Amino acid sequence: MPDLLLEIGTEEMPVELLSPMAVDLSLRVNRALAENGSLKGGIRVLYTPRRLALIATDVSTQAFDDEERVNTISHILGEPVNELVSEGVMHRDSSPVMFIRPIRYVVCLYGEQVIPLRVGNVVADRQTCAHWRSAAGEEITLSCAADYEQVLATGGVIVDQERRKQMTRDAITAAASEANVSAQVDDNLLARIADGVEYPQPVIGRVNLPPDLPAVFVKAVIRKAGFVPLDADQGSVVGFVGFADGPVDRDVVRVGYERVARSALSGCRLLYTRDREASLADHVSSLRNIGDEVGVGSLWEKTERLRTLSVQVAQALDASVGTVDRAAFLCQADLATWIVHEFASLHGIAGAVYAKLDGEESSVCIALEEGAVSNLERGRIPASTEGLAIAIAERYDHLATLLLTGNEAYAPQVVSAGDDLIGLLIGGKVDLDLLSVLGALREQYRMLAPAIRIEDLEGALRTCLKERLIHYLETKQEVTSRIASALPQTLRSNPYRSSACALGLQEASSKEGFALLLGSFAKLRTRFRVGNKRVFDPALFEEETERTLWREYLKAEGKMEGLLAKLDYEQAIDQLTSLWGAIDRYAEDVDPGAGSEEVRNNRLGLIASIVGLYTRVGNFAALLETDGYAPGEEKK
Amino acid sequence: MALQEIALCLQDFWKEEGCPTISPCGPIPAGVLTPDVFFGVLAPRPWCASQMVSVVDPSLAPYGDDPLSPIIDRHLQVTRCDPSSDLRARFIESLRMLGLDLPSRDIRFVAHNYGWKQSYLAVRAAGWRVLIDQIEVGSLSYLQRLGEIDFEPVPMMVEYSLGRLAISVGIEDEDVPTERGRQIAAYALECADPERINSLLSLHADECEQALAGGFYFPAYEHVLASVYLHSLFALHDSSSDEGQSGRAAHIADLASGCARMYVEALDA
Repeated sequence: MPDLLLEIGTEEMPVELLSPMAVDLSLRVNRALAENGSLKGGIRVLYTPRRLALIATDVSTQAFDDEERVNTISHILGEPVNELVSEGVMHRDSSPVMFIRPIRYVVCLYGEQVIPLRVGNVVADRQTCAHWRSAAGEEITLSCAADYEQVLATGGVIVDQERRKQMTRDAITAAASEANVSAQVDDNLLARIADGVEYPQPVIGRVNLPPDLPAVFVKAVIRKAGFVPLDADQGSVVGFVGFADGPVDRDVVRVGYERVARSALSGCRLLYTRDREASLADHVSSLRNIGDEVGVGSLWEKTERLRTLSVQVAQALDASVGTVDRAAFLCQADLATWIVHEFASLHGIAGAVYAKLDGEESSVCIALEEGAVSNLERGRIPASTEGLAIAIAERYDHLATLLLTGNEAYAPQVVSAGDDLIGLLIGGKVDLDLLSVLGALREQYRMLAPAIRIEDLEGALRTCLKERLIHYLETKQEVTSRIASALPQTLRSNPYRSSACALGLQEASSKEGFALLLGSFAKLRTRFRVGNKRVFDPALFEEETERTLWREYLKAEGKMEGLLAKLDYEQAIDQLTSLWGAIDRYAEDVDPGAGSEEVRNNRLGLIASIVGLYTRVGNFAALLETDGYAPGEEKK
Repeated sequence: MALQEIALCLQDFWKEEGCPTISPCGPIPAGVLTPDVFFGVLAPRPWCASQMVSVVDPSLAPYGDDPLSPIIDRHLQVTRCDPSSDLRARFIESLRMLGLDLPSRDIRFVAHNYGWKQSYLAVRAAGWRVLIDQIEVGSLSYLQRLGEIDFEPVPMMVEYSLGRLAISVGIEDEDVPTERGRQIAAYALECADPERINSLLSLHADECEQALAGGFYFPAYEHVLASVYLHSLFALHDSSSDEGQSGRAAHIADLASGCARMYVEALDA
């Protein structure tokens, strides 16, 4: 079956929108073809700044003749394509189409056959465009859909964005190898470069370094100028690779690139010099006049909260409180510097550099740097406990302020902040209850948003943590949704302990004895009306079965206590399982209604205490329900 | 070819394209339309012109008046209203007229959604920054809307940064800041009193409202331009949240929008 090619040729579109628009186009066309049962193969999305294209392989149409085939495909594609382009923002003539940039032509081929699809005022044909600076001239006639990529390549256009990215990566590797240095290729920068051209042509440049400018600043400047810095200690010179679009005279272009890089470095040097007129600590006072990222308070207030938070986290981590407090005091200060004003990606890193130059203690500088790197690279866990404390405090406060400003638990920013925080706590093995930390910050958060009750923030935080924790356990630790949803309520705000519990519970649930454990729990719930009063007097037990259960309970409780302190939930559950025989005999021999009220209440006190052990390692009622047992029904 | 020759060459080129040269304007703050262009594009008949403009941008003060980020620059703003013409092709042709060897250069049209810093003027535009070997030499824009007024047909704007274009052509390669630019940078960073600047900004905004209340949209627009300059200066020292800054810019945009509305109403009357 033939392939279907659709290409929308435009003037240069915003690079950051290319990938999402291409995916959007593909989804719309895929849905339309699938609804008509026409798509037998897959869809490939291709794009450059001047075109969006897709190739659908093995497209079938039930048609008697060419005319009917043309009409069918036009009909299928017409709506989704016109819907997409009508969501744009720009027009330049009387065309009803307001695509993101003006449409110059449309190609639509089914095998060799032109599908005259109408997109706005433009009717599709088989004429595509070569690179606009191609010597071969701009217009190219396509004979069939299958030739598309190859024909365009001869016209100086690599239409496959992944191939352009690979060409870019290869060129950087080759340049680094030739210079006998290495190059750190940042994927985002690579994508930005490859998406911005139709044919990447490497141009290698070199510039003199301004004196004293820290290497990390040099790289940020070169990257911001759109070039890839080469790693090397070449004294006073730094190399970089830039990418021209299409054929150029590299010697001429190099002069311009070097001029741009030199100018950017010299500007950075001025900012750096201005920043160094004061110490990093001096910049802290300026934070009073700078708004925080969610617009509810100043960065000074944020700094105060971070100090409170990070010290609490430090205590849980057994980290140096003095170091953490100093790092928390300084960690926002670089937001008042010129360098971060211009290069936002240097926030945190610049602080660490300036702290070092100011002669701050090395542990403080390390904490600042690790906290910053953890912010920039999601999933990166700081190596030092002090750095970890700073990173956790920053994420926690970010999440709390997002919730304080009315963002819902499912808002993308909240989801991202929640995931980051949970990842840090579990990855960093931090045994910390996040809600208990909130207590020390009540007043600070209340001042930030007086209209919001702190109880509402607690509720929002609890909901968010529960949802993000379940997501983390299921996606990162392969915990089943049955187990992830059956964690003890009391652990929900302690992600690391929850994770240990979930993994222990999952392991234990695969053992034979787990069914017995669930069964004995079901019996207790069915036979006795278990209350919350966990008080009993052994002297009031009337039967030997009661005394046996009591002794077994004491043994299990003592061992579980030690195991839970070590977060060994699997062994703790094994200890609980050892009670099942005594529970079964008790449930069969003891009449819950026998004896005086005092004896009956005493009996319920023992049962409540035993159920209390269950609740420390899992929500067994939820587990029974997911197994299909209604409340009160015994597990057979 | 000297910088002045570049300007004359481009003006001649656009005159041939139906955009006559009008009196120079300036200095005006960066990112705004000159009064001629602002009111010209609102006129009922298609308006075409090319105009030399002296542009001052104190927001670049931290960079010390680098030739690639000049605090004072001369721009050529070309406005035309001919939907059938290929603006991009004409722009490329104008570069060729300057003697640039285009096949050897890395010429990019980088799309951006807002044309230029027009948020002050309530303008919605779409267009491209034009870079030669990564040096930004100008921009092309299609004005979509000004205030509450949708354009039909759509005016097109070409803006050349003559200083940077000269560097690309190869006539200037000095990293030495001009004394005037150096003084503006030093004043903006070290001497300007943010509180007083903010007060002046409020005074100009109030005076603009007063002028509009009296039906004086041309003088009102002069206060808009002064407000933009002061806002740009104040922003160097203002570390309030983006929301706060965009709130002030939005107020200036409202005033500009008022000027546009009143002018169109006067034309209709």
